[in-house]
Amino acid sequence: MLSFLKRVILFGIISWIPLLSWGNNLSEIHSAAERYYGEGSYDEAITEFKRYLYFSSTDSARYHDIHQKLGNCYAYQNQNGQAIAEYNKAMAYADSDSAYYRSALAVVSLYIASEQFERAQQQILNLQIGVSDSTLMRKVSLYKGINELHRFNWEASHKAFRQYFTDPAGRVILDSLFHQAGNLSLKSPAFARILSAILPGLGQIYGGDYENGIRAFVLNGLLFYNFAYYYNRNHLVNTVLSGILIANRYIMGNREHAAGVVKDHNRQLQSSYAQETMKGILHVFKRVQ
Amino acid sequence: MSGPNLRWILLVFTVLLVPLSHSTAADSLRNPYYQPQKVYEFAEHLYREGEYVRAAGEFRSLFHRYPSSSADSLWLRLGLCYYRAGQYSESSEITGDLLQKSDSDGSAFGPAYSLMVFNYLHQNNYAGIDSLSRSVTEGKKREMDNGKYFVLQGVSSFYAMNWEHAEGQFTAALRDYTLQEPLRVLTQDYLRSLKKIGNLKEKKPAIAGGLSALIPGLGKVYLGRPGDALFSFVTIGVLGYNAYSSFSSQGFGSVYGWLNAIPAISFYFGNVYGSVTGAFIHNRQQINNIMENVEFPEESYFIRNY
Amino acid sequence: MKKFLFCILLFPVALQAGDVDRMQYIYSELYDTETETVKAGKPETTTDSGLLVKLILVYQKYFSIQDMKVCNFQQSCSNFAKSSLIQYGPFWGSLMASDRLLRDNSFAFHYYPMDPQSELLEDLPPQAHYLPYYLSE
Repeated sequence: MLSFLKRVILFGIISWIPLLSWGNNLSEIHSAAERYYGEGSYDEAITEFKRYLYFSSTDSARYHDIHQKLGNCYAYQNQNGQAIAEYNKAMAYADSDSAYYRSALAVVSLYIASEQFERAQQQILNLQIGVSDSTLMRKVSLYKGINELHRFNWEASHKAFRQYFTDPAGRVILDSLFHQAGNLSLKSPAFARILSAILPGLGQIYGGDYENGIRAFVLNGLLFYNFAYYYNRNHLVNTVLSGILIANRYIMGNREHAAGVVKDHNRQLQSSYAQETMKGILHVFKRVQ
Repeated sequence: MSGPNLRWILLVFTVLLVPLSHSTAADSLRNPYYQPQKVYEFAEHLYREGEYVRAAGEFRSLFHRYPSSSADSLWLRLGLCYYRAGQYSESSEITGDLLQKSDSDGSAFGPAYSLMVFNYLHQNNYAGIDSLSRSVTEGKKREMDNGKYFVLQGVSSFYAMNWEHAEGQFTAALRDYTLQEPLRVLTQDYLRSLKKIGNLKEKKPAIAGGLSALIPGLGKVYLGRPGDALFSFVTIGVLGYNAYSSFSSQGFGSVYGWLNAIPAISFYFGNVYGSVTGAFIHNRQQINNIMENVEFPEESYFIRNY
Repeated sequence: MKKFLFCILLFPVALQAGDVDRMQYIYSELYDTETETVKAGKPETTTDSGLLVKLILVYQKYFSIQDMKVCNFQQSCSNFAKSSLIQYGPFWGSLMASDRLLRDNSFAFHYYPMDPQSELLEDLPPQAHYLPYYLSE
């Protein structure tokens, strides 16, 4: 048993030990940032991560992870530009292939989410060059499949998804989903233009817009009648006015409008097909997991 | 209780208290990175990086945790953060409060005054600048009787389009030999622009309207838009000619004649109206071209060294 | 003949128009400075519209949809006419609309700044074309 005095000294030493750990103050900031990140308070998390980054100068082992999390925080707050900048920094600090690809694929998913499919395609092509690990290749092919689906390239998308889903049951469902791509009844805008050139309004009716088709027919008919009236009476000025300045505008406009109607119809069909296929693929994805 | 038992209880109690007294909460007062100096350093870093709103948040936290710190410079930094972030109304509010507090004493008055003027300029609130300069107390007026504040007054008058007053202020500013070089260059720039504005030749709306009334399109030629003139002349001419020939052959009952006459009359008066307003727009355009070519001053020239 | 020649000589000199900017200082009261948008000039839909506005609405619904994209400006002529008629009444509105129709021609590319994204020209809002606005200063 120690004497009372020695116990007091022991107590003093014990109580002051935690204060000697100044090296832990930085990691306190880091743990606070991680706590905010886990809770979902992304604004505070960004501040604390940035505070850690500013004050720490030697501990770069955590930098990849911190920049990745910073990118996630910005992405949750819909600040895509800053998120992509942070992911790029994370890629610079990546110490392994899988870490690098984690950040790069996050950038791709941001591009797809903000509907910048061409940029996502470019990034995917960059990632496919020089990849050796098969798991990483599979991950990239999944993103490629999604991106090509949104760009309406069914063949490429099918091929990419086949690389990701290797089990036979999943592949059967995949094949059946993509088989329907051939059955899409797309219409031709050029044909609509030709139809509208023959008879105004026919192109719109071919595209499915009956109301505007009839209106175009009536309007162009009246204008042509007006033009023919003056032409028959050899009124040069009026022929020119009604023919070239007015009727021509509406006839050409009618063709453009018909092409626009058909393009809208096609886009509608393709995007609804893409959505259905995406739902089907998610189903397969969940089954595989 | 017996002696040794009491001591044991006390010892166990204090040993158990030790981990509780050192809480691991991140904003623990003992963590040096949350001390005011480090927080201020971090906030300055955020400001330099361009994250103005986040920096403002950090500056604000200094008020809440350490109210004894020098409040004036902190309020000014806060106002600057919001100004840089483009939130001029918030910045005006903060700077206004600071101005009221430091009107009687404190060296923050000058920089705060300058920041307030810049906020008003960005909000195009020239009346605000006038009332601000009138409300300055006599003591402070003497303090602000130097080149820097003459330049500030000149800039405000320039953007309020009060040319004579601006010229007077800029000339007075140049007479102050302590005026720093960047401000001197800026003042000379503004004086050159003012000279250009003085030499501008205005187009008279009455002449433009009269010419267009005489011959459709001539007013537009006077304004320097011959393309518009050609188009209006041809349009009105053709429509008018059609109407005239139709009325002269079929009388005033012809539908075709009225179908051409109504647009012709409407376009004729529209052309006259367009020439008149076009003259006003052209005059304003000339002034605007000169105003946009002169560099808007950086607020740091006026708030530096604080 | 001499007058004709004189007019021909004027054209090359007069075709060089100055730079047209957005006039942010001069027309500052027309622009919302914090959000950088134009306050006036947006087409408004009201229930109480005069006859002319109703005519424009009919035109927009049945005719302009079939026409080519002929308007060179960002705000189409029919929208400009609609908003000026609603804001300033039939007299000033029709004057401003007919002036706008005359200004909307191929030569306008020399006189107005172009918005790079939409490749259409930027015109000043109706308030800047309203004559009493200038006469009241």
